[in-house]
Amino acid sequence: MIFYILRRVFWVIPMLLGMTLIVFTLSHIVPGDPVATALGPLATKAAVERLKEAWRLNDPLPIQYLRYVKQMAKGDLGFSVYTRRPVMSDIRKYFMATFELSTVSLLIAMVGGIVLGAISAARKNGILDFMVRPLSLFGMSMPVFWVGLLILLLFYYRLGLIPIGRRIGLFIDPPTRITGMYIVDSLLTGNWTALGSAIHHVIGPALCLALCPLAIIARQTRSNLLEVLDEDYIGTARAKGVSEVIVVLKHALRNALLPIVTITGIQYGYLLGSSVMAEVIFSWPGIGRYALTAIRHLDFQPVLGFSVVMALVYMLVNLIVDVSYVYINPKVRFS
Amino acid sequence: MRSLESERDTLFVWVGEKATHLVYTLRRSPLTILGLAIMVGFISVAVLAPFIAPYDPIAIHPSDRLMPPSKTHFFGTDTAGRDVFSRIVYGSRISLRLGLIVTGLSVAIGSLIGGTAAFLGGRIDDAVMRFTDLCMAFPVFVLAMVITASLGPGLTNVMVAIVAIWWTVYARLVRSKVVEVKEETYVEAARAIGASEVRVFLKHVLLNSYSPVLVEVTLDFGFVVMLGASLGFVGLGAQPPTPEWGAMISSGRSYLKTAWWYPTFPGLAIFLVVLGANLLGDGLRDILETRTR
Amino acid sequence: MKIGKVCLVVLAGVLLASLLGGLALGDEIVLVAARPKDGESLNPITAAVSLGASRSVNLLYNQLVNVDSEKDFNVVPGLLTAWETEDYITWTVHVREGVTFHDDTPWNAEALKFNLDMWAVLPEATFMVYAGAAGTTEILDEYTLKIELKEAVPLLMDFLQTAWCSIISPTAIKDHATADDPYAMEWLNDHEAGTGPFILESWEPGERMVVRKWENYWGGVIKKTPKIDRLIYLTVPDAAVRMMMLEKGDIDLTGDLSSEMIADLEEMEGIKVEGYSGTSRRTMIFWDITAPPFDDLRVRQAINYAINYDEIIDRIDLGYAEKLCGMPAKGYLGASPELAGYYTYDLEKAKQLMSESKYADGFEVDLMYDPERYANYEDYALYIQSYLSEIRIKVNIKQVVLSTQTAMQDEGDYGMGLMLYSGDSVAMSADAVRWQYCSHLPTWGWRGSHWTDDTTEVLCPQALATADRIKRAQMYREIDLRAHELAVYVWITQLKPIFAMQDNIVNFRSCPPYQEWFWQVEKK
Repeated sequence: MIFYILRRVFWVIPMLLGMTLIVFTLSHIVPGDPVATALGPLATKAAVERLKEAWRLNDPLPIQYLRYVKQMAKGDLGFSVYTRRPVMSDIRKYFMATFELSTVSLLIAMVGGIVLGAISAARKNGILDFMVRPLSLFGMSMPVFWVGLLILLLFYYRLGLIPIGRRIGLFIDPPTRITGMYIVDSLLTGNWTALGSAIHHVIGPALCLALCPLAIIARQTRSNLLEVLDEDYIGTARAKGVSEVIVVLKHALRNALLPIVTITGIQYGYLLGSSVMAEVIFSWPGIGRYALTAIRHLDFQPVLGFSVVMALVYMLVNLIVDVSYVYINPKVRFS
Repeated sequence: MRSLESERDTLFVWVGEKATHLVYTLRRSPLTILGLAIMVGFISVAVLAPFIAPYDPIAIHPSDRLMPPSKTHFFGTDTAGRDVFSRIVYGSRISLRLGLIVTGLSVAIGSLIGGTAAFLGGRIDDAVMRFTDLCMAFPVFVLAMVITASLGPGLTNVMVAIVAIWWTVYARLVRSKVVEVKEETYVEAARAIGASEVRVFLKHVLLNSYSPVLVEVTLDFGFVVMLGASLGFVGLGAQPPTPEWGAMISSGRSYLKTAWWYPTFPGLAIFLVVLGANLLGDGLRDILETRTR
Repeated sequence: MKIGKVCLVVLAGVLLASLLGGLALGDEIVLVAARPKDGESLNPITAAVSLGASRSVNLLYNQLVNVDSEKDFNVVPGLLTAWETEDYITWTVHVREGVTFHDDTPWNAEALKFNLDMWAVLPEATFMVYAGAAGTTEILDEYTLKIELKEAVPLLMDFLQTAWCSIISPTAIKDHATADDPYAMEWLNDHEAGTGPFILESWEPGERMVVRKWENYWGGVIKKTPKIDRLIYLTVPDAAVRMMMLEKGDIDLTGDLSSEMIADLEEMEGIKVEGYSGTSRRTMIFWDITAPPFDDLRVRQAINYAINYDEIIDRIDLGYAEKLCGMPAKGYLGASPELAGYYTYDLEKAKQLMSESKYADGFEVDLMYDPERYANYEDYALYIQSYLSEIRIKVNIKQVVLSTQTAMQDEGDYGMGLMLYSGDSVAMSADAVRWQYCSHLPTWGWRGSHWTDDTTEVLCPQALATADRIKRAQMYREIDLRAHELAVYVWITQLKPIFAMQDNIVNFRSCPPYQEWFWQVEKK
């Protein structure tokens, strides 16, 4: 087991190297000059050259790459020309906002999806069940950015149920920074005002992101559960006179949830990616918006840092998913 | 000669059987028919765009700025007075072409590389699979965004970026299927008769792994259209004045309140195409995979 | 069912909490404003060239001199009270007494010397005019300093009122300097040490900046301390979202809205829309007049005649703009308002000119612009594309970032470039037009057009060296007329800055050199 985890963790290194190599090469094909961006439209040619020299941008590409990798090993992701700050400190700030958002979305999607899927399986051929399949297909087909606009218009503008544009109330100080996730931090510090406000602020964008994975999980739960409900041991339980609710909740659901765990990783990847759009629409100060700004300004170090961090998180989440799968299901053996 | 003819005959019979089966099961699945209808509808709209669209999708009409939907402009007009309906009609060409080219190329490249890798096995197989692992270690949208950003915004670059990621999906799919089929007795038998390796590979192995690929293609078609629109939305896709749906929503989003039709209808178009592909793909999966739900 | 109850309780708690949060504030007067873009940094020297940053910098810092935007844009005392010079090389300047920095360092000749010497050696400050001419500085007494320049700079004071010439506390810089960074440029990115009307309380880049009124403020040009206790400055990129927030009362004030939204907000109760004159936001089309096809005067004139300016103003800007009259916009020193009528929409004339030109069969050309610069740019580009198709010019629209665009314009032969000049964004005075005319800086001025003749080589440097405002204005007018005759650019529109705010907000102003003038704002 430990060997397995170690091997998986070890794998992350060559993956990261391969990936940075690709992105690094690509980002140097880009026409445009980050240094000119840094100095603004008033810069003289001499100033641009001087800064280029200072940042060692005139070195051959392979040397620049090696230097980048060396820095990365030390946890230094370079320097953002646009924000004038180390990429690492920018990412540390913006990433947690994205992480908070996507995690909350995943929770919503899982809870909502499992509940919906379980109910529709338990009441097979009921009205809800009849609706779940087309509805989940609808959910899967809605563009995130479109859903976001609808939520904005309906829940913020028309109904005034959710706030937007911030991670926490305007007049509420963010909780003391421990993890950078407002919800977790305010829980840890017992700052209930901040907690309420943070949850209230995350709901809108989180709902928008959760819709598609929720639909997928609901479908998956339903079909898994139906399969399990056909198994012999469920029949036995029923025969013993166990009530239907207990049968579904206690016996069937637990077994049906195993395959759900495996798709969580993939869904998380989806959430990380599409959070970019939710951040744009809801003015959520996350890493996606940061990366988009960097892309617009041809500022490649943050873009590189962004992809490294996203890939790393995605890999780690998948690792955790796989490991926890093993814990839940001891039948799995490693080769 | 004779054997070739008989082979062809069996192929015809086989296709015929499959088709009959397909039609039969389709009739029992209204959602799949709906999906098929949506797809056929959008494809006809794309093909017949010049006949359907009442206006030029690009020419501006300043005096018709932001007109609400009416008899003359079914979906209203945008800030440059362009007919939103016509733009959506022409936009279907862009999105469907994107979907077709990307899935087509991905399938071609993916099955070639995946199939070859599986057939040859050994080191090559390992190398290819490690590379696909690499691509899969990224959230798709993030990778597509970074590649498009590196290549520069534009429709062609969006396609290149998505194909560069997407072929790996098919490479893996085809590979696993080929590995499975390779060991089947009929392949062994074909080899035993003395059929050439290439022939065995093309005819027996690749052809027999078609069904999961077909399902995947249909489902992916929707996903690719969505991905393209998403890149357009964040400003990395088609450049103005191209009537790309995602870009239309992006420009129209500022007018959500004052001119709801501007961002709403392109969104509806994306939704419908993706829904169509999902319904169809979902139905096909039920039909082609023996396991029923 | 349990889950439902838990959810309800949490929701109720959330609502209660956010309510309490709103009440906890007490009697303080807090103004909440939203802007589309945050500054990247608070460091005046490196960041003030950008619009977002100069807005922040102007809240926190002061400059040596200011510009009087109420009256003829003359230079008026700021942190300096007076200055004398005979030859524009040796300057004796008098420092204002009784001013302290936010960190309680006194403002005196020594502090001024520190700032000037820093500008002279910092590589980041090379584009400052002062740095180019910097010589020696000598303290005469506690409040007097002598500056000896390397060359004569008649307009030195005009240059010194720009946001990047903000004065920073020497103590703060010395305290936070490191071996690699002797002037604490890094520290200044997210801290401040100025003399401005507000003190930085907290800043979450890209999210929110909170500043509080500085009790010991010396009063600035208008001799008054701020009337609000706190200003919360939110960054909300999306204009539609800002508009909704204003409508819902979540914010008090915002700008940079599209014309459609402004028209909509004007009708709304409880919200007022105010337009301010005196902006130098100008839209223009640049081209290289030495490269084909723009080397033919008739082509340039044809394009100038082919554009329907009134339609752009009416349909895109919904009347919140006027035809641009030349490099110095209307209301500025040296402006020639009559030149607005030099080129008017006349398609017949345009076609005629085009058919007489070397390119009678038409041509294809790129039109590039940075969509982030102005909300209505996409429409501008589309309209121009359509106008020019009438005279057989096929325009391909290309979106680029500003730095790429200016770099290409500097190189030459770039097709057409749609530019938005916003002189006031870098706190340049009305007289700032000299930047465009006579600048020593690349990509600015006539350099984008690659126009060189007696006008640019003789008249422009002369204007730059003329201290007398009236004479200088006369020269500007001459230059502008010549530019129009040669159709060096297309002068499209001069835009009005529009802000929308709640009804109870009074005394907000927007005028150069300050984008937003907060220190007299009141909330009734």
